[in-house]
Order: sequence, then structure tokens, then C-alpha cells
Amino acid sequence: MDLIFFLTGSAVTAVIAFLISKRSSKNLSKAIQNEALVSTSNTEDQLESLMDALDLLPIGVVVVDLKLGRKLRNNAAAAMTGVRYVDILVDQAVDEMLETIVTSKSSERILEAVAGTTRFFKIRGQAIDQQKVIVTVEDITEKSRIDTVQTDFVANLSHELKTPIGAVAALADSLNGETETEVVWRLAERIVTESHRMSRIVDDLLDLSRVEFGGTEEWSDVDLGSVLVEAVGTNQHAAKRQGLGLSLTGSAELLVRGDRSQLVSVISNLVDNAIKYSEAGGVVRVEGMIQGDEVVVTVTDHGIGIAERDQKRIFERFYRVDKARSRATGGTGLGLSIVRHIVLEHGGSIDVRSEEGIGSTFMVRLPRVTKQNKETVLDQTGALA
Amino acid sequence: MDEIRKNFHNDLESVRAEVIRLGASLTESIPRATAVLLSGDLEGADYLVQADDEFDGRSAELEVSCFEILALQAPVAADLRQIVAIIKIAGELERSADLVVNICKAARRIYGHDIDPMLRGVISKMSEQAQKLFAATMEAFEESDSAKAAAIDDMDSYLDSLHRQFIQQIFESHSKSKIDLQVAVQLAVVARFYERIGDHAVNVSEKTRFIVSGWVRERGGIDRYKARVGDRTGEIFLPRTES
Repeated sequence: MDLIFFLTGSAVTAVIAFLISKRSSKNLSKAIQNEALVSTSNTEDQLESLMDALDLLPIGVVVVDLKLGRKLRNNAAAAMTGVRYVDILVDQAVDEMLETIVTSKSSERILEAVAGTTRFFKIRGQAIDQQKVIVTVEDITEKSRIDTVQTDFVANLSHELKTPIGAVAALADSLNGETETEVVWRLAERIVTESHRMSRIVDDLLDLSRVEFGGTEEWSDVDLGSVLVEAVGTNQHAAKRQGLGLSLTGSAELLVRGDRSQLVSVISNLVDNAIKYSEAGGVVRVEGMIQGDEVVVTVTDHGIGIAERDQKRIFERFYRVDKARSRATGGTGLGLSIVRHIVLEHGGSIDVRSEEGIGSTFMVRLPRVTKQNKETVLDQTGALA
Repeated sequence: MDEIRKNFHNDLESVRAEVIRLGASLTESIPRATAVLLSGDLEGADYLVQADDEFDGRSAELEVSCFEILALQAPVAADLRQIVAIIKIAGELERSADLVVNICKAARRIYGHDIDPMLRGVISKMSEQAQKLFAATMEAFEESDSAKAAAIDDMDSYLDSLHRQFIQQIFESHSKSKIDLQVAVQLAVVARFYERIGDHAVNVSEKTRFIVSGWVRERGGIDRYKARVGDRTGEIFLPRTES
């Protein structure tokens, strides 16, 4: 009896056809079974290829038949994050969505879950008909991160420039009609300081855009050893003033291809930061070494360190971990983003390892120029000529 | 599955699923509370404090569901162990969620005070370890993995050592006048909260071992008591006669 319920349209047609031709009942039941098998396997095949296709989607898809109580989910929906407890929370949000869909036809919510970093998921539910509901889950962490970076950049840029401009305007206003020489002198001094600050920010921004859109025409083979010596040399005085030791170790033949002055500014920026965020009595270590095909430079300090949640963001323009402190140290908030752009432009990478209260290590990796690949470059040039 | 017991097994499965969900919420709330504490996020603190009411409600409902199963289905053997253990686990989860709330409340009390970077570093580590412990504990429960559950106790000893290290660090920071007495006391209490969360994770994992194999922790106290008064199990309710 059960079998009848599973018959599909074509099987029913076959039954009717057989009834009309009045064949024997034995043949009839066999034919029904055959037809039922064929149509079941057809539906299953279709379902399987549909599921295969759904499995390839980067978003999670859950289709629910409320009447049959059956739930189909693609791979992405079954394991959205790879972190079990976050997957469970996503799953729970999907179930809650199903409940709301019964009353309202479509619904949408953002789920926020902390797994190392905060992740965001957009969960959308839509009723297909009276009984079927589809829920999609999309990981929008990266998208919302980019949104935040953009809004932060605009807000920060206007703030960073507005502050000195406002100060200059106010100072100039006070200067107007001021007769006492000493006050005039003091106000003028402040105007100069604020103007310098503005000009530093604009210079840094220009540097950044130059690096972002810069070419490689002026590149040559650069001995990174001498770059390290120069960068450390320019910061020696600042380190001494802060009561810090500054050490440099490096091996010979640290040859890379690039723009020398930009590379000096990378190392110098990192050393400058290390000094700023260290306390007196500490040591800042700069080390250059060869690791396989790469030249690796590390700048290590024993300063205040950077919290894990900030580590990913410090390379953004104007991102500051501690606003009050960075302003006191006179930074423009652009240093590290310039550093990162230069390193990436040179085909390298930059990483930070840091622990609060222990210190930070910035590691720059650049492709090394060896005799062998130097010859290849020459060959190619020759061929072009 | 036996058709007669189908409803019963569905009920059992749904209380298990709710334990897993509560565990996931709790695991996720630990790093949240730490972020609230380290960034002085008062709004985030309010959110977590309010979310605890829902958690309490859900764990109370879970217990009621278990009582209903006990009363209506009279489970035996492994099923009985499962229900009894879940009633206890519900309590452990609820208490751990309260500790997360306590961290947020401490964040409110020390709002506006700077925390020494050294202390921040250890707080982050404790939070990470407490979260790892609960994630592993809930996985062991979900997979009924007795071996994984047994490993939780060892993982907890690292959290305990971080707790000791943190207290030592508070003394050092305080002696260098890097930290207010009020903040020092609050932070010492916060460290205790993380350490307690770890202990609750160990308790939950012991219940998982109980579900899987009927294992119960050796009770040193009971043994000592018995050794002192002599093992009089079974005599206790007999009337004493003077001879």
C-alpha cells in the first residue's frame, strides 16, 4: 500500500495503461515496480546533481520542506566556518529564521560571532511556497571589513587635517590685532608647528599614492645591508634620547631589487615605531638574514606590544591602536601603511608577531637577487634589445 | 530505531541539541567578554549582561525538559545517565555564563583605568585558553568522545598556571605603582572568573565521561570519611541497640 504513495505521475499513467490493456495482475505489479524504480532514480539523479551544484556555491543554502520536516543543506551550510561552535550558532540562527518565515514571507538578519576575530554572517530567508522555505547564509566579514576601512579612512583623514586647520585658523584669529610681541611670537610658533603637521600628513599621503601607483623604472640592485645601516644610523639619536639600545646584525650579500630610498624608508619607519613604543632601558634589535630565496629583515622591540585584534588593522591608513599615545608621539598614522605598500610593491610581504606586554617583531620578506636570477634578467634584457 | 520509543529518542536528541547550542553560545561569549574588558566597551558589557537572562531561561527550560523525560519516559541505563548528566551540565553552563557576566561587570567597575600591557597579555591568554577548553569540552560531549573529555583536565592545568602567573604579575605591577589598588583587586577577581570557567568545563567533561561509560571521579573526601568512621554503608538507617 505504501508503494502507491511514492508513485510519480508517469508511474500512475503506466498503471492506467496496463489496466486498459487488461494484462495479467502479475505483469502489472512487476511493471509498476520497474516504472517506480526508474522514476525514483531519475528524481534522485536530478536531486543529486542539484546538490552537487549547490555544494560548489560559496554561500550556505538550506532548503526546508516544513510539511515533510525535511532539511537539505549544501556543504557551505553544513560547515560554514570550520569552527564548530560558530557553525552551531549559524545553524541556530537558520532555525530561528525558519520560525519567522512561517509568519512573514521573507526575513533578513546579520549574525555576529567571535571566533578569534569577529565574523559577520548575513542570513536571508524566503518562502518558496506554503511549505518550502529557502535560507541562505553568506559570510560578509571581509565585505564589512572593507566598509569599515573606507568609512574610517574618510573620517580619519578629515579629522587629521581638520584639527591642525582649525588650530591655525584660531591662532591666526588671535594673532589678528595682537600687539604684544611675545604673544605674537608664541602664536606664530604654534602656527608653524601646526602647518608642519599638516604638511607631514600631506607628504605622507603623496608618498603613499606614489607607491600605490608607482612604477619600477628606477629600480636597481640594492644591498639591503647598507640600507639597514643607513636606517639604523638615522634613528640612533632618537634611541639614545629615549634611553634605548639599538643593535644591528646582518649577513653579507643581502641583495634585492628595488628603489633604495623607499627601502630605507621601510626599515627606518619600523625602527622609528619600535623606538616610540619601547620604554627606557630596552633594546631594539634589527636583523637581516637570508632564508632560501628571500632576504628577511626583522625589527624586534620589547615595548608595549599590540593586541591581537589590532594586529590586522595597523597597516590601514590612519588606524591607531591608542589614539592619545600616537598623537603624543607625533605620528601621522600613515607610516605602516606606506611600509606595507612599498614591501608589497617590491614583491615581498610583511608580518607582525606581537604580544601585549612582551613586545613586537615586524618581519619583512623580500625576494633575493642571486647571481643565477641576475643572469636570467640580463638574458631577458638582451633578448628584448 | 524502535518505533515505540521514537518520541522518546526525539526528545532525548532535542535536549542534547540544546546543550550543544547553549555550549556554543557560552564558548562564543568568552572572547566577547574579554574584548569588552580590554577595550572598556560599556555598550558591549550591557549587551552581554542582558543576554544572560535569555541564557538562564534556556537552561531552566532544558532542565524542565529533562524532568519531563524522566517522569514520562522512565529512561534506563545509558539513556538515564544521559538525562541525569544533562541536568547537571545545564547547571554548569548556567554558572559559567554567570561568570562571563561577572567579567563584564568588572569591566564596568574598572572603566577609565588603564591596564598594564603585561596584564592585558595574560588576560588574553587566559581567555583564549578558557574558550579552547569549552570548545573542546562541547566537542567531546557532541561526539560522545570519552578520551577527549578525559584530556580536558590536563588542558585546565595550563589555565590554572596562567592564573597563578597573573596574580604574581598583579603584585609586580602594583609594587611598581603601575596599577591602582582598586583595579588590582578587580583584576585578581577577573582572573579567578576565567579559572572558574575552566573548572566548569572540566566538570562538564566529567559528565560526558559519565554518559559514555558510567565513570565517576574518585572522591577523596568520601574515602577519608569512610576510613575515619568505618564503612557503615547499609547500617546507617538501622536502629542502634545498646549491648
